[in-house]
Amino acid sequence: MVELIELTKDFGKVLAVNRLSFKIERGEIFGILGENGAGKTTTLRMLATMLKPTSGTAIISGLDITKEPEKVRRKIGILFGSESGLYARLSARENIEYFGLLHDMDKNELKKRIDDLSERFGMQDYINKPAGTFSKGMKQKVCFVRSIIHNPEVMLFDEPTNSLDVSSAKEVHDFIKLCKQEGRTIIFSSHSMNEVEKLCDRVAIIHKGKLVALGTIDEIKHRFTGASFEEVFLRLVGDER
Amino acid sequence: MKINFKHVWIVLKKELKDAFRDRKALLVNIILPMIFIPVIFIISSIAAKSAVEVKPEKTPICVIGLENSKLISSMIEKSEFNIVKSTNPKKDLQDSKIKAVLIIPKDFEKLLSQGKQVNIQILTNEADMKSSNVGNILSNMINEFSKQIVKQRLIQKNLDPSIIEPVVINKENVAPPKKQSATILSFLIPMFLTLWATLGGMNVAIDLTAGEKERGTLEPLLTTAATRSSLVTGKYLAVSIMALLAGLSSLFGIIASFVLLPSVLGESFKNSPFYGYSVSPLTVLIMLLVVILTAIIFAAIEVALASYARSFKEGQTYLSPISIIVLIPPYFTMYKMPNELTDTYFLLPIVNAISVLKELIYDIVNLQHLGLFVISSMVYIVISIMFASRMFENEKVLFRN
Repeated sequence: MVELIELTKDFGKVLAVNRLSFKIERGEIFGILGENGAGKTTTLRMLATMLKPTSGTAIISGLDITKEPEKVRRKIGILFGSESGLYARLSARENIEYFGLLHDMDKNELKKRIDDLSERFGMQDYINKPAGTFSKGMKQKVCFVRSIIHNPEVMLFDEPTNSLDVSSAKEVHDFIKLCKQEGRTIIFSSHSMNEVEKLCDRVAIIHKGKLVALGTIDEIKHRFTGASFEEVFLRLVGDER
Repeated sequence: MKINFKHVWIVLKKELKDAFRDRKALLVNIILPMIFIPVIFIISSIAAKSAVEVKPEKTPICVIGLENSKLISSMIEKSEFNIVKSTNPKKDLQDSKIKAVLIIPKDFEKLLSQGKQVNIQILTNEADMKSSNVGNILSNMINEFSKQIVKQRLIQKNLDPSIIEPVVINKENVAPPKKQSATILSFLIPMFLTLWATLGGMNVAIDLTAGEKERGTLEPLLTTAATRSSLVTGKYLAVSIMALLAGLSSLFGIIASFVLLPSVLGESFKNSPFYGYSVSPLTVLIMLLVVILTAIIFAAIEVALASYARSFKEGQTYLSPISIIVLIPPYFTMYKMPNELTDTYFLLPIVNAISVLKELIYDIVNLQHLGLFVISSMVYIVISIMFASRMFENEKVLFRN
């Protein structure tokens, strides 16, 4: 479903991502775990075709991110960061509609999908109100719907719960689980052990742009008998320090 | 550079909808120029009139030694100047409490009757336009008085008074009022038009680029099916339209000024520095061309610079010097008469727009100059759009840490 092949990003002064290679299966929640500056965001930005790899590539739903970035973007949805960025003067519907139209969705189909999703996420009361008047929770829901409006096969989440309170973080977790139920493949970056342990089927631990461990949580834990996942992470990252 | 015009249209429509819902920005950028410009013209007309006009009964002057000359005192009385007493006339003059000081020497009448020369001193404060004018009025009065004395003395000696005036100067100002008003208008009108055409798109340019980064909407936008070229084209067109609307508003303000001035100022409009100027349809057409080209060039420059900024505030820091830069060319050409403007003036950015407008206000339509302006502006448009596009498509600019 998603395959990273020697994916590399060199910013000149910093080698942010260093020859990352791994495969992610369809319907899987895949965690990319690493400290701040490990290269998680750069990796996800390359997968989202926002940044061009210096070398290597990735294949998403059979499409090469370096050769067919526009087609790749139709297959992916993103939720980057915990800030719910919306256009304050546009209504929730207009915010979502804008992104749907830029994904070449048919107007009638788009309207129907917004109505369906609005009902599913309990947004009917405020769907036509300006986003500037919304609470954080309301904005978060609009961002969820915006990210899946074009029914993407792959969802990219970059530290989506960073600095969120417990209930908002739970909303994000529920949304990720919902995406999985709907058969989407999820790539999820975090520096929270608990979150990754709770949600992810498999994990890649990266440090200074390099892959240091890959597998299920149990497989990785197995390498260090008796240790908690947090201790395992610290040992893996510590070895590289 | 792949552009999908359907995506461009979607972006343009959304950005304009968003911009038109920002009532405060709309008021400042679009509504304000059409009100502000007529107000400036009316206020400056009234201010110019009151600064120069001297109403003797309301103008205090101090005469030292009034008792020394009956002739002068009766003349001053006739002039209706408000004669006041002062313990420190020089200081009062410096403080603009009085407008002139006239000093008549003690033995004025005696020396005059003896046929000798007498000195009368007039003190004025040249920093005060009104004081300067009062000084001129008093000088003219005394000169006239002096001439009468000379005439009397010559007649007494049986001589023809005209022998002391072998040459009589008849000075006539042949400049029609329109040309006189053009001096100040050729500075003000180009400045207003280019200023708003550049300022009008500034906030929108920042909001659509740096604002997207700050809100966190840029990343989702970049992962839609639209290419960056399509996104930046839609955004650029939206900024151009907003800048153009601001420019049109200032053009409307200028036209409205010249329609309103005569009725607002009434008779005193004749004393206005703008008297005699009227806006012809050809003038409006060329002004429109200048506004369009200026708006398009600056919209691209503003999008390019604002794309580099990480936040709205940073965008304002980068773009605010533009409002100073566009004010320089009007001063650059301020003391040049239209015939002194060489071809080079019509090639330099902004200076070319100012120069075309300057010629226009002096009723000159030089097709060669107009052609140079249009061609050079087209070159600047291409360069500025390429700059904007490169900036927006550069990942180091968009994801600057």
